[in-house]
Amino acid sequence: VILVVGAVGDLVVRRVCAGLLADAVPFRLLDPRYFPGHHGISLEFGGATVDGYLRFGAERVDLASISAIFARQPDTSSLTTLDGKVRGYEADLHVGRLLEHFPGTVMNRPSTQASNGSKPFQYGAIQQVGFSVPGTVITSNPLQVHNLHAELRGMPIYKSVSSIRSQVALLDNRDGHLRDVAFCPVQFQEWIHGTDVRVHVIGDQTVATEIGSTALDYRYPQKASEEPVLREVVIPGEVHEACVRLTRLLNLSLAGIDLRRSAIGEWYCFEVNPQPYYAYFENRRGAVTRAIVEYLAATVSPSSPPQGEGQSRSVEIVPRDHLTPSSIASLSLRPSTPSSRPKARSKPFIRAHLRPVLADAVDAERLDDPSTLQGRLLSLLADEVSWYRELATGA
Amino acid sequence: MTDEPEAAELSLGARARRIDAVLLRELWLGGRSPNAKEASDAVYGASERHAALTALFSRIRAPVINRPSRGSVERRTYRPPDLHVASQATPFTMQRALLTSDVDPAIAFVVARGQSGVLLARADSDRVVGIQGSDVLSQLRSELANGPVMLMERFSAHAVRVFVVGDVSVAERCPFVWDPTVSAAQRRRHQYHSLELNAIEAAACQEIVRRLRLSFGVLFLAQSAASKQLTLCGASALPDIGRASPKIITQIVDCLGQSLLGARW
Repeated sequence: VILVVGAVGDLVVRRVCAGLLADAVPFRLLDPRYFPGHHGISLEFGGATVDGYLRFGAERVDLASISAIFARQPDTSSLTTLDGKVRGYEADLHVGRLLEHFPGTVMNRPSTQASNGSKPFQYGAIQQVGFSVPGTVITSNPLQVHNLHAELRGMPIYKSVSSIRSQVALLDNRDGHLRDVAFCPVQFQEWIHGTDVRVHVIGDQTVATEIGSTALDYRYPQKASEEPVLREVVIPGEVHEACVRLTRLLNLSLAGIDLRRSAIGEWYCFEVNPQPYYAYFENRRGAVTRAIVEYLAATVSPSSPPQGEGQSRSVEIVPRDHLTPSSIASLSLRPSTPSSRPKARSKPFIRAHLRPVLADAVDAERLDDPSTLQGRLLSLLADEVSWYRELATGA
Repeated sequence: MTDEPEAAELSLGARARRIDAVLLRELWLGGRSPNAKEASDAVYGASERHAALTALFSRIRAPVINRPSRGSVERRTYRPPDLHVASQATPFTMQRALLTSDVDPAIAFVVARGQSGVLLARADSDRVVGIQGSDVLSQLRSELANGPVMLMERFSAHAVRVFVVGDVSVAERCPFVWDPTVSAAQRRRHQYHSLELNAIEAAACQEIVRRLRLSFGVLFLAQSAASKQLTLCGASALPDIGRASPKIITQIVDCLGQSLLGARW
């Protein structure tokens, strides 16, 4: 059985579930927003193995019967429970420990996602596999910022140091808000002219998408002419190899790698996303979803205990009605379906750019009663399953 | 930062007089944002400072105690589940622990431990509380109503601390058997005595700390009064040597000094 951990309102989670369902790969969905409560986790440590079970409503699934986990864990700490309490971090940490200590394949474990907490921390690995990194200065000294036009080639841009999303912006020394740099370290980089390419790595497969846009940050087009145009492309063999090596180096099995091919053909890498929102980039071919489903399905074997990466490819056939019991029981009545791109920023000055963009955060609303959610979940997944089946038949 | 950090500058505000462990810990683990106008600013500022320091500490060309490494979880306190992998193939038994959100397995875990009771910890807190007595089941139900819990077995044993700096480990032991009737404040005043680990135990401690990707850490063990068997109960990446015996402190500071001067790197 495959365990999918994520919010059902998340399009990536729904696509993975739909792919597993369409390919008759047995799975359960654990939506962290309904843990604890509708979902339960019990793990015992101290012996040679980790024993325990996961609970989906009244149904218990033994940990030993789970062969792999696909994890896209949302931050649920600010949610309120049915009785109005703020959840805090306890439940997320508990789910995190399941993902960290599960003995089989996990795509991806929390510890392997840690490197994304600091972009410059990843630069060492990025350079190790042969990609270039733009000249970078990280400073909280406003006086140093005034000299960056001389220190960095071309036009300096700035963005967040951590994984908190910020809009890439050009540095303007006339900006009266430069003193805000003293608030916390800011990452300044030389601007690289070129074409953005997002590469998704799934095991040793890659799916590359070229992003055509004249915007400084294609995620935030300021006018219609800057709207990004996405098209799947084939990347050179050495770039494919470097992406796969980089993903392995960071102990990931799924990654979204942000590349830019410069005007003279040099490949720069900005960041490796360990929990990529690939649905934005995925075209109608659905190659990323398909590769993830194949990767997870390869771990499922009805006659063998949980295995490590890439084991038997035999797949247990599960009847369609396997979906209807409490196996996939949680769904928000107002699923926070991600928009096609992150929300745009409004204020153009540095402080505004540097503040967190909460587009991907889970809405801090009351949770719905899980007992009412079944029908809605099925209808949502039905759309995704139809989409996935059309891919398979080439419709 | 095209190759290695070429320059780094640490500036202190006019009112700052010294850098102490508290200040560094605040910087590293989040800390305050003196210029924050809104709560979200403070969160963002803490995240950016931590990310910048992580990059600096990971890449600077100098010895770094507990250099950040790819794939390591930044953790202050390691509970038994976090040590499951690191402790494999060592001579230590592991303290049994249960992570659960459900009442039934929690009750079964407590009942199996009989009168000795259990310890309860929250994942987001360093605090551990003992649960025992006649109302243990109602205590458990009450705790589980507030979220999942971690339960750990409790036993009558001597508390042992093993400080590890690279390939050196120094151990000390509480002379008293752990007694739940003694308050935590009293226990903190107990003066530990040096303990000689055998070569296998010392090597195992160093190996566990290495597997946690630490160069300086402390392991918390329990030594059975009867069999002398050591049970691994926890670890910390931020060892507090302030309560160690003077001899131990001297040994640790000496090792850390040599490490920072490069003698052990």
